[in-house]
Amino acid sequence: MARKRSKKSGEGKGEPLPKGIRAILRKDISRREFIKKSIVGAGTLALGVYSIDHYILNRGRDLFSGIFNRDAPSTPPLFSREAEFYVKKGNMVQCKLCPFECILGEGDRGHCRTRANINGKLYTLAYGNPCTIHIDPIEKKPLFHFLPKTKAFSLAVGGCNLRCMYCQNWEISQVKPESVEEYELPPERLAEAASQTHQKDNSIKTIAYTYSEPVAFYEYVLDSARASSNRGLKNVIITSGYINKKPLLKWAGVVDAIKIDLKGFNEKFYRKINGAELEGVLRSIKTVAKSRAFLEVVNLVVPTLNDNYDELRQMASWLRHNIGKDTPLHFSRFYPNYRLRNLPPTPINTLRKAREIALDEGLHYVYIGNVPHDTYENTYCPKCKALLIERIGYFVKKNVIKNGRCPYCGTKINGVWS
Amino acid sequence: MKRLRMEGKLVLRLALFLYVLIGIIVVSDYYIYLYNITFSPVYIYIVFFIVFLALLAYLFRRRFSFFFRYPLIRKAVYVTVLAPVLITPLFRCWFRVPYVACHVCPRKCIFGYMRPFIVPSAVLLNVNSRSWCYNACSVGAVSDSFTSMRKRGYLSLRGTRSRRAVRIIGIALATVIIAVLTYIYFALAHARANPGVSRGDIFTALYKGSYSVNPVIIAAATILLAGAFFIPRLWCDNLCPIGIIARLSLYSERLLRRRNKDGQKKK
Repeated sequence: MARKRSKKSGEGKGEPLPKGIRAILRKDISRREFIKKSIVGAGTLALGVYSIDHYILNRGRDLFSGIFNRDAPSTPPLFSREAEFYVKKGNMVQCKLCPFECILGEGDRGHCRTRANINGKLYTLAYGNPCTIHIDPIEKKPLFHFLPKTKAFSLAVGGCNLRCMYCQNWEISQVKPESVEEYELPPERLAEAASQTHQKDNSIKTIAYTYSEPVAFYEYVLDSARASSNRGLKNVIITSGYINKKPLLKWAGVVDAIKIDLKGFNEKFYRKINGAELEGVLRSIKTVAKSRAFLEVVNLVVPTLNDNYDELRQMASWLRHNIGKDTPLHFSRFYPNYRLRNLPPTPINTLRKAREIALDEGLHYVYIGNVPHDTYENTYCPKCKALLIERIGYFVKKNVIKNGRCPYCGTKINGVWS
Repeated sequence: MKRLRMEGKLVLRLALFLYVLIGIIVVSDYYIYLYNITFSPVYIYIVFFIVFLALLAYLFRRRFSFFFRYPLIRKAVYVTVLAPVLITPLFRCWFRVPYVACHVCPRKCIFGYMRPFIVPSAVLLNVNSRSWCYNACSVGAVSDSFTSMRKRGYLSLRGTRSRRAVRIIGIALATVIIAVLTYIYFALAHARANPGVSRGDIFTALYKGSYSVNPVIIAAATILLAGAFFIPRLWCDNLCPIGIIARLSLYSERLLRRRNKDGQKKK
């Protein structure tokens, strides 16, 4: 009060007291109320600063995944084209390609890292820009009943809609397409290149979309398959099968074979280790089995996580009843990789037991993969048990199948043989 | 009870109507339209405006006297505007338990997006006699709506011997809930940042992998809110983190209140 008086009389020196303290001194406000208001005032100020920074200056920086919000390029890349299977919702788009069905605001990039909302349209960023191209034996895919002893012109574009913790190709699958070195190879040029390679080496009969996840470069696969089938080449897709039914049917209409990774038969495993859902993959397997495309199924057996024999039996039984006994099933050996380095490789006995279980359940063609020089990589006739195709690793030593039949008993062997 | 009957029945019915309406929209395939509306800048700025207005009105009561003039209209506006933010996660969420994992959510709903703003605002507004809970919270208004339907008096422990014991149990429960939520917050952040195969990974335990409807949560939430028919603010006072924080702070304020020489409490 003394200070207030001195101020009034003009005798005081220095700054006047803050208004709040003067109010307390005047007893307009209790001390408790003053403390409360101070807390609320400081909080409001901090909240205001935070809101301006977070919501206005960097609007929704952490919206959605935190990685992909506002992450789209300002203009579509060189060969990019408008994506298929999406719907517009005001200023947002919803991708309908895979079960994630990402809702993307303008400038957002989808969960797969390859689809982005640019100026209100969904574009694929993984188009005509493969990051890797190799010539592989078709057995490496693995496709054991599809043109054995031939080679595949194999390619991938960066990106994937899954988050498998043991991914062997994580350097290209868990990145954006533009984060890895790219070739410029739009569909027509790809078909031309594959065709020229085929002319030089007649054993190259197929283009394989593999390594990462073809769902992430869906349109590129579609257009390349169309362009290359006109040149007499076949097309195969190596996928996790986490894709919606309509786009999958469109794929199945243009490619010759699809290999689906059924990563486990346990919803928890799928969610935890792969970041997807089992149901969507099972639906895809059924869809492909009913289509014109040839189907093979692979299961990577990861020790302690999906090597439960009861589950493996359920899986074999499900395959037997839903896609038939003639669809080849591969049990692949797991090797520690990426974020799952704490587990040992799958014991070979586990794989053998898994094979026995699947055969018990009535499947005709069950293989063990990633175990070179194992006799269970061979194809035997389901009826007379004769050795039909002998394999050593990815190489075919002997193939006696004639016109798709066992030469000894005449049993039809499911597959694409010529 | 009397207060609720007299002043707010219409507003409370409005809150209940919004709860049902938003529930139907979010459960149906039309949720995308609500999603789109709530993420429009206009809506977000309206939310900012009304929340900051409430904070400023508390701080500068005289200058914002108009804010206190029509309490019913004010409450109706707050309940309506905030309903999509506060109610949506109950009906559709990426996680098994809504509201708790927004900071690690792969694709946030409007609540997840605005949580860093809404939760501190609510805590700040509650400093002034729980203004958030009683004037702005849509979920609280839904709860009150059930209370207002009861014609006879509600269950009360006032004057009974067990009142003190129940209060102590309530405070202990509130403290446990806050501790658990704090643990979950950091455990989720840690699990999300370090994905690994470990037992008890809380992110994996809570994450559904799809933005889907969880009937168990809807039923549980509705039952807890409808429980206000018997015990007013059953959810708000005992389980809602914002309500619990407000309750604990009011309780601690009461404990800290100093007494005069003659034993009377000081202001």
